[in-house]
Amino acid sequence: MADEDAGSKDAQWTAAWIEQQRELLRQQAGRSTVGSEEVRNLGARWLDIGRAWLGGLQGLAQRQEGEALPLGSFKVGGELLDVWRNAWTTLDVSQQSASRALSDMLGRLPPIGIAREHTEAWRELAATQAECQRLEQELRGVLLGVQGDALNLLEERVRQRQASDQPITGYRDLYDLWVECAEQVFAKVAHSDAYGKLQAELGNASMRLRSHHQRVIEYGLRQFDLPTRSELNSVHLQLRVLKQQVAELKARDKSAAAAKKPRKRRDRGPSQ
Amino acid sequence: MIDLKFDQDQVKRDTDDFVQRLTHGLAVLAQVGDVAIGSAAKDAVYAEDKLVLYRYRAVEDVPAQSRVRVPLVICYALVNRPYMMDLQPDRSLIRGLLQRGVDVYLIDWGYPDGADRFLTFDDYVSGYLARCVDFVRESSGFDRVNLLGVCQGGTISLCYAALHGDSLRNLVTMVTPADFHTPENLLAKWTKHVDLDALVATTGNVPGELLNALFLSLQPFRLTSQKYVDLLDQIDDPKALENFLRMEKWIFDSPDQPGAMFREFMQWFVKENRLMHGTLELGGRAVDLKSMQTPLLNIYAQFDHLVPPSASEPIEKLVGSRDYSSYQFPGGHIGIYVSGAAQREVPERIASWLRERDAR
Repeated sequence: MADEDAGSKDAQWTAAWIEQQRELLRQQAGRSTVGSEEVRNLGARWLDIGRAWLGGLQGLAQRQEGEALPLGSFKVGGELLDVWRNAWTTLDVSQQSASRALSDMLGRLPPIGIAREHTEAWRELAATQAECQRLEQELRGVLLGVQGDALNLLEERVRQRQASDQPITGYRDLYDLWVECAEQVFAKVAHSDAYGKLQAELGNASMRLRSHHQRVIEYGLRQFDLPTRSELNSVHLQLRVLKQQVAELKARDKSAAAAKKPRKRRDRGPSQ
Repeated sequence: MIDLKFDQDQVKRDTDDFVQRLTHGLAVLAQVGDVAIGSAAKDAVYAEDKLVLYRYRAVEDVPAQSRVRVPLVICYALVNRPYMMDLQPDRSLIRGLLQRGVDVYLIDWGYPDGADRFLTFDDYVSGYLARCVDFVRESSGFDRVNLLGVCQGGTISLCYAALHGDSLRNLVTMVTPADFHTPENLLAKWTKHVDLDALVATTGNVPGELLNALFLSLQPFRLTSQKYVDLLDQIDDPKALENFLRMEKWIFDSPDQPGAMFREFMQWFVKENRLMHGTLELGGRAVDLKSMQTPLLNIYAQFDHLVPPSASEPIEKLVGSRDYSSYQFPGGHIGIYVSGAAQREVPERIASWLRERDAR
C-alpha cells in the first residue's frame, strides 16, 4: 500500500514536471525567428518562464512538506528554491546579483547529458581564469606595495643625502636613486617565502588555464580531423623510445667489436 | 613630504640635454642596422638532430711549443646561445684560446623544438655530449680530450666527468653552479613551489621567452628601465652602441628548453640539490663526483648574480680530483666573457693550465 502511495506521488511529480517542460517548449516554439521586437522581449519572456517554473516548483515543494517521502524519491532542495526565487523575483530590481547567484549555483551542479564533457571543460576553464585573475590582482597588490615602499625609502635617502654633502642635484640623480631603492625593497620582498609562493601559485594557475584552453582547442581540431599536440606528443614519444633502442643496439655492437680487437692506448695522441 | 630644492637652471639644462640625447639616440639607433655576431672561422664537423659540433680553425702563427695538443671541447649551457664564447673579434674567449694554441671544438645545441620535448638530462650527458667527445677522440687520435663546461654546461660536464671520466684528460668549469641552495639564490627560492610537472606538461618545451622574463624579474627596475636610460650616455659612441645591441641580441636569443630535460634539471638540481647531497643518478648510474679523478680548473666570477661564487666554490669539496685549481675573476656572469680584463686574463689562465698538463 505504502509502495503504491509512493509510486503515485512520484508519478504525480513526474507528470507535473513533464507538463512544465512541455509548457516551456510551447513557449519557445511559439517564438518566431528572432526579430528586433523578439530580442527586446526576450528578457521579459524568460522572466515569465522562470516565474512559472518557480511557481510550479514551489507548489510541488509545498505539497511535499510534512509528507514522509519514500526512500529514493526526489525532493526539491531548499537551496534550489531560494536561488530560483531570488533569481526570478528580484530580476526586475537587481538583475546582476540574481544572475551571479544563478550562475554560481549552476556552476556547482554536476554536468550531465550529451554536452557533459564540454560543459565540464568550459566550466573548469572559467574557474581557472577567475583564479588567475584573483592571483594576478594579489601579485599586483604586492608589487604596488613594493613601489610604495620604494618611494618611502627614496624619501628617506634623499633626506640623508640632503643632510650630507651630496644632495640630489637633478632628475637623473633622483631617478638612479629611485631605481636603487626600488631594487633594494624588491629584493627583500622577492626573497621572502610568501612572494615565492604567490608567484608560483600564479604560475601554476596560468599553466592550468593553458591546459584547459588546450583541451577545448584540441576538441575543435579533432572535429576537423586536424592533428593535435597530444597526437604529436604521442608520436614523438614513440620516436624517442625507438631511437633509444637503436642507440643501445649500436652501443652493444660497438662494444662487442671493440672486445674482439686488442686495445691500443693512444693517450699521447696520434703517431707523428 | 620632502622638499627637494633643485637648481632650476640645472634642471632645465638636464632636461634639455636628456631630450637632445633621446632625439639623437633614436636617430642613431635607426641607422645602426643589424650587428654581426661571431668572428672566428670554424667548420661544422659533426651534426646530430639539432646539435652541431664546430671545430675552430687554428691560428697559424702560434709556435709549435706553445700549442696545446689535446683538443678542447666546449660544452655551453642550453639556456642561451653559445656565440657568447666568440661574440666579436675583440670580445672572444675562443679567439683568445686559439691565439694561445688551443684546438677548440664547440657544441651548438641548436634550437630544440617539439620533437625534442622528451629529451632527458641524461640524453645530453651520456648521449649528445658523449658522442661529441667520442667524435673528437676518434678524429683527433687522442683517447682522452679536454672539456670546458660553461654555466649549466659546466653542470652537465661535471656529470659527464663523473660517469665517463676515462674519456677526459682535463676538465674546466666556468661559472658553474653545484650548490643551488645558497642564500642569495633567488631562482631556487622561486622554484620551490612551482609545479614543474604541470609546467612541462602544458608548455612542452619551456619557452625561452618565459625564462627571459624570469631573469629580468630578478632585478626588474634595473634591467627593464635603468639599463636603457643609461644607454643614452653611450649613444655617441658607435662601438659602444654596437656592443650594447650585440649583447641585447644574445640576451634575448634564448632557445626553448626541452621539456623533460628542463623538468629534471630544475627538480633534481635546483629544487633537490642532488649534486650537493650526492644523490643524483643518471641512466641508472650514481653520479659520484667523489670518484672523479679528472684534473679540474674551476673558474667563477666574483660579482656573478646568477651563479654566485658560493654556488661554484663547493665543487672543490665535491670532486675526488687531487689536481684541483680555481680562479676567481673580478667581474660578473657576462663580464667574464666580454670585459677587457676577461680577454687578457681568462684565456691565458685556461691555456696555461691546459698546457701544463698537456704532456703529462
